[in-house]
Amino acid sequence: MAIEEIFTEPAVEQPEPQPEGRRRRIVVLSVAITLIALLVALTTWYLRTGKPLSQLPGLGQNGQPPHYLFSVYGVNKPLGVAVSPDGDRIYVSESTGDRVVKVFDRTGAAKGTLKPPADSGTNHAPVYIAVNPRTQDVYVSDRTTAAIYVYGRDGAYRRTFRPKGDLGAQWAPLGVAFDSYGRLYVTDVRSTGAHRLLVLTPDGALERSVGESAGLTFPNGVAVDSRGVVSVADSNNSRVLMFDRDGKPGGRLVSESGDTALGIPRGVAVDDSNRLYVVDLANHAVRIYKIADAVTGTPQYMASFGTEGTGDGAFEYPNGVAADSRARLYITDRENNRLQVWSY
Amino acid sequence: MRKLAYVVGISLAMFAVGSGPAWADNGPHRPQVSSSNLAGGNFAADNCASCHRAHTAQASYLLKQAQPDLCYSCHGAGAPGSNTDVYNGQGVDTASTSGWSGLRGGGFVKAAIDSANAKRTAAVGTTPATKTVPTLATSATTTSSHSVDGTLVTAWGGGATGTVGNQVSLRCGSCHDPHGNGNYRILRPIPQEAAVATGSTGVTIPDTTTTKVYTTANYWTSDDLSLPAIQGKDMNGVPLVDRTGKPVMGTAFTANIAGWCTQCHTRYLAPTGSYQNARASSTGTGTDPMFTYQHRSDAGATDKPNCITCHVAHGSNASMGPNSQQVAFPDGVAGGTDSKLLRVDSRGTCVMCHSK
Repeated sequence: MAIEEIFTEPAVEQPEPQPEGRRRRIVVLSVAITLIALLVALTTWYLRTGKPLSQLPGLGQNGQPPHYLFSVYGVNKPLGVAVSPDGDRIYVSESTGDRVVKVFDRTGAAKGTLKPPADSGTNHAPVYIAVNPRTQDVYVSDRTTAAIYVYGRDGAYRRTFRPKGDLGAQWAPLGVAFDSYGRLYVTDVRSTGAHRLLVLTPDGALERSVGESAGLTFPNGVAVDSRGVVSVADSNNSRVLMFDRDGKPGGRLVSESGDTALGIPRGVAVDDSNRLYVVDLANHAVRIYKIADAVTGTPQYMASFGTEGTGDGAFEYPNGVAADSRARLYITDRENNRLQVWSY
Repeated sequence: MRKLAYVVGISLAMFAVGSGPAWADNGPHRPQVSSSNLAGGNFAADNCASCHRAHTAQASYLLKQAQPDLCYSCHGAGAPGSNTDVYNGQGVDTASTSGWSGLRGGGFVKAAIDSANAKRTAAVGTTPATKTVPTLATSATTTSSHSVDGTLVTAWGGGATGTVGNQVSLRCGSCHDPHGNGNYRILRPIPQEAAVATGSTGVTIPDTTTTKVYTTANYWTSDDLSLPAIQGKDMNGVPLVDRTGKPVMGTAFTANIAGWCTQCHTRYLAPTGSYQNARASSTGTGTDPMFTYQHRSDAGATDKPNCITCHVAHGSNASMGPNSQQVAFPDGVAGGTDSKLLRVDSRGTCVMCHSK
């Protein structure tokens, strides 16, 4: 009986799923979906920007300086540097040796040279370089011929850029940069009259002359941020001046002490994370600033990198700087005869 | 009303003077050089820190870095901070030239002297003789230059009788005063390392020119005629007279440059005559077994020779032919291809004046 009872005992019913377990599965599923979405977003962001994860919006503004990647050798006392928007072409001007602009790809492999036309003479001194964001043409200022030579992305000489009218009769173009509309900004270190910043339309018409009353003295590098604010390295006055899109004076960076000291500022660049880079030749360093929210505001110091020397990451009289869209920085290291590549 | 006009006029004049960017020969690094910079806050910009460090300097004179690289940052290839490229011997003064031209003093690494194409034409009737040394289409490597990296070199003819010269260590700042002193080309009245008498005030070359010209299209034209006429001085600042007792006159440059150069090359100063017995001192008449005879070198008139007539200050790319290569240095070492700062190939410099 006892055995029968045992065998006829009704089967135990399966318990109903508890609400707590269901919630757990939902949470796990949600997290998984979120992670997958995040992964897809990250992958998409990375494929689109090519930037390291440290540059995710919200993470890259923590004031950390970039780190040294590698150097490109084979350039004689380089001064200027520019990079194509996609980072595939790097242009570096040599001030001695062949005195041409050398072209490299993103790995540092040589891809050719940019040479002025034969009828422009044999004596050239390329200094600063800018890439037109609209056409990809490369603009190179030449100190000895007081000219700006224009080359295609393929390296072929296209034309010599001249301002309209008699503006170019005694100009001495040095620093060059473009804004997003294709306007060309040129620092003019002419011998007659005050040094200044010229804003030129793509066809060479003068749109504005800026800074003539500011006492600019051998202004070198120039950069334009996304709002149209122009930063000019007023080199021999040890300062960087900002002007708004109408040419009105804005913020200014002046020499202080320690890490924020500006000895002889030369090249300047702005990246797409609103960071302003200033090469300080005398201090063998690059200063990094956060662009102010207000158009007329002064950029906030963030960090510096570089020290004097010949080893990796050390500089001997750096001069030019360029930033690409992949959070890479390119700095000409003049007396070390190399181009340094840094990244976040 | 008149006072107001004066005030406005003076203000405008000061503005005009101060608005020019050219630092010229009052020194590029002196903050008070320009009224516009005073107004622009150049003191706040603190230019001192561009080149100097009080406690962490890496070179003498509390310089952040050693010369000449520090100087080349502005005055080197590409001249991004000045109008003079002393590395390549080129000037990019757009006020005097369209584009570039040869730097009058040549360059330390390259120079643009067309030393192979010097020309001289004889005077015909009222047409004066012409002498030209053109500039090159591009700079060529120098074959001689003054040292600027501190290397120990010999200042030929310097120092005591019986020696070939003092050992000196030259840098850019040995001859030039970067802070400005009112002298022509900011030359120091006494070059550092110069062997001058104690108490000497040196040789000044006053510069009152407002338009500075650093370039030339004719390397034989060494004078700067825009300078005022003065009487020349020797390396001790003593006024020079010629054989007849007349003062040696000329522009500030030609009258005094020989006195200036011979503060280092002391026994090269020959104040009278075409050929002069060498002297044991600047004022004595004794003989010097080493530099017994020498070419006159201090004539102030623009048509008479001076140190700078035959030689450039920075460096020359002139070539030396086989015979000229046989000319040894005073210490007997073969000269070889060294052009000895001459402006013309081989000894073409001689023929520019002497029709032999």
